[in-house]
Amino acid sequence: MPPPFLLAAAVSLRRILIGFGIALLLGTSLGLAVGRSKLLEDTIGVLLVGLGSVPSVAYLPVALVWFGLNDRAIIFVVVIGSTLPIAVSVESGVRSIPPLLLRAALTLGATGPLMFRHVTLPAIVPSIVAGMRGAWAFAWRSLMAGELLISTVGLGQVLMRGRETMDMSQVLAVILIIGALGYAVDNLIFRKLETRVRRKWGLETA
Amino acid sequence: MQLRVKGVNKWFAVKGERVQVLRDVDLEVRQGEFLSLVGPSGCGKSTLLNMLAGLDQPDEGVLELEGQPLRAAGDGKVMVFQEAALFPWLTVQQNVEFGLQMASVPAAQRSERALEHLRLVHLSRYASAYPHELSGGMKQRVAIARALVMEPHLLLMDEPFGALDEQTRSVLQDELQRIWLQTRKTVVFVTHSLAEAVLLSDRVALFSARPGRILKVFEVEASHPRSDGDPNLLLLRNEIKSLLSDEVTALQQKEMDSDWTAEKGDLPTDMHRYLGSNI
Repeated sequence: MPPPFLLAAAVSLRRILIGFGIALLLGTSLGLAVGRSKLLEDTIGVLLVGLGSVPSVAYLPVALVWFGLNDRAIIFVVVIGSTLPIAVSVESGVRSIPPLLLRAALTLGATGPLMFRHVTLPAIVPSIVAGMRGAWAFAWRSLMAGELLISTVGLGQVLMRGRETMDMSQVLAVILIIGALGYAVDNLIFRKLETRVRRKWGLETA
Repeated sequence: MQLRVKGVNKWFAVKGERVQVLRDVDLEVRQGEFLSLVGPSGCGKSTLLNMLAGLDQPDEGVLELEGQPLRAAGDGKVMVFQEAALFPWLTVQQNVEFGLQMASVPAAQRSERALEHLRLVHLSRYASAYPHELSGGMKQRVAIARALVMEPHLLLMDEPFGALDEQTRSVLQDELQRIWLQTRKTVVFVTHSLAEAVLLSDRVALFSARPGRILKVFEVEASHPRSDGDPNLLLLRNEIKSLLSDEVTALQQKEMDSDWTAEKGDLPTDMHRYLGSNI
């Protein structure tokens, strides 16, 4: 048997990865749609930032009613919490593609789906990566909120058990683990990814 | 005759007002010809070029390529812009291959043709570099290779050397001349520099101030390869310059107070003053 905190950490990581993955897909699609359509920009676009200020925990009651007291409710909250930061970043990325690049691509024969695949998508990669970095922190917060309130296996539950048994060392240890995991993922994955993209584009010198 | 522009009119909306930028433009570009468009700024020469590229539509008039109405962007017409407009996420070679990839050319053939054109602009050593690693002049060479690799019927260039320093500009002008002699593409070239226009072109079309119409088309009668100091080019340049300065005066008077005039007479534009020095 591995120590219980490792098991809890694994369960929590699994939730956040699933939730974050879904948020990445949703946020990128949403950002692309809003960035490319004037109608969506005027309707959903103005809401993106406003909705982003609603803490994802506020959606927990919705999640509980829809999914019940289980994993899916927690994942739902993670998705809600991290989709919007990605969408906002991708949207501004789409909007800031230099028009000259699009015109050059047009004269080289890129139209419709070709333009999307070979120009729009690669052009927003830095924005996606930047959005992911920001959203990762939101995802952790949402995960913890969900896990504290819905008692299942997970780091949040270990934290709450520490509170119940008045075991402060356990509480602080879990806080440290959460911090370390968040830091490790940001530093080892997202920052590396971002630096690589920015170097390749010449936005940052080696 | 390859490219024909007939009775083209174009208006733009500027602050709610309709401003005419092109008026009754008629122009014919012959197969394999190098034609330059010059004129005061804002005269619509870039607009005309955009129309030829299929990036813009005329409000009135027709554009025909080989007797067919000009089709949408792409399709045998490639444009080189003042900024190189390279894709920053692609290597130099991938940038050159971009258009071929859009046309679904197989990978092996793509890479072969790209390398061949990179050799043409002397950049084969940089095939795997990214655009940000290149200087301005090198980027513009890549942009030219990226256009030529498409083997276009029509190469459109919108002040391609306008953002470069004098030395780089002069080197690239010579290269373009060499490449054009080698490939004999039909080129329509927009520039602010009369020296550049007469150096490179078979004919130079001078536009009036807005609304732009073609004042005069000059034949450049000098054999290739040409050099900057060619006295014939100098004479022609001065002839165009004096006509152009009238247009610039007209333009400035519209934009500034009406008593503005260009100072004339100080510039040695009159060929009779040279008393034979240009023979």
